[in-house]
Amino acid sequence: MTAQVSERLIYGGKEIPLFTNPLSLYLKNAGISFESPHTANWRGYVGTWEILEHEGVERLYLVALSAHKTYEEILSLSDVFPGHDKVFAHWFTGELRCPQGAQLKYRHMGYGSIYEYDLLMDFKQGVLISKHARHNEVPEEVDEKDYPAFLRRGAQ
Amino acid sequence: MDLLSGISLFGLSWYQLLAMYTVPGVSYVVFHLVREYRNRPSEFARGMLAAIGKKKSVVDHLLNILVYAIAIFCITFGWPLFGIWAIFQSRKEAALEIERNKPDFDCLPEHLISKVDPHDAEIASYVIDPLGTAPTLPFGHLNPGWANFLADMTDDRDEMWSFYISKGSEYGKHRFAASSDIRGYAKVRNGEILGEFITESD
Repeated sequence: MTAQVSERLIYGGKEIPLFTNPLSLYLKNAGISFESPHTANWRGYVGTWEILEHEGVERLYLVALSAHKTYEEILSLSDVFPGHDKVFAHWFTGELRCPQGAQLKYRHMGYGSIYEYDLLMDFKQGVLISKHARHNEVPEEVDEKDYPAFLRRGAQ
Repeated sequence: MDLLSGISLFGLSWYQLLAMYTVPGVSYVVFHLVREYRNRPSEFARGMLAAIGKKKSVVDHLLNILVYAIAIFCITFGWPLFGIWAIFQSRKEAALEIERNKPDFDCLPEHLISKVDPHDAEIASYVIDPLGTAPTLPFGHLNPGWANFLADMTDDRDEMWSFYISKGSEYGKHRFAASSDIRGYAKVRNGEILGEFITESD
């Protein structure tokens, strides 16, 4: 599986990549699916998210969307959420992962690449609860001989 | 042979009886060989296998012939046992098929918390958003999903239960570890989960 294009997160006035798909539950619930335009975007959309603060509480909002209804036809946020210019992701409980710094290891799979840091933010029903940074190390190279036999090249 | 020559049933000699006994086994062998022949790799596939060094050697062919000869002998004379095995196998396959076709709900019976009244669930579901971007409907933007879930509660025996899956615990048919807390409501009938509406997860 090809490495996937990330979502985007605007936080503190800066746009950073986001390696989490907070829109998944909404789309599953609504029975909506999009067309994949290429192998680096199997989900068929890219959302732009923003953490907005109100009276000391920070919440997660979807502020822009580019979603492929078909290969050619692209839907925006107001097409998927009519009458809304931003959407509070109140269904999202979990962790947002934002990779930061240099890429230490490229992995040709999903959001598998490893960067110097991950900014991790915990949300409960769309409200930011806590955040912390994780320092990553270059992962140890694994030699093919250390793989289980069935994963080695030329395995019968 | 002298001993066998004394065996007869309904006026049939032992070799006639043996021939009759082997008819089903031989029929199956012929059927299977024809199917194998029809499903043999195409010339293209054989060329590809040869190109990646997987061409069969003479020893491979001889081994193949030996395996086929043993299999034909066993099926010809032991077909009743194979018949019994086939019946068991088809029953096992049918049970697996039923398991495969079961809907894949995140919620498992151990995640159910308590029976809830849909009206109470709605009252507790309104979303607080100071920017006013969530609809003032039960479960906010998830309201259409909730409406569908309610519409599906058609049977008098259907009960609505709340459920909670904690981060790290097993969930769903494949029992993966949950990457976040998951909450929602399940449609339960006679103790069986028949539907779910997830209100929060990652």
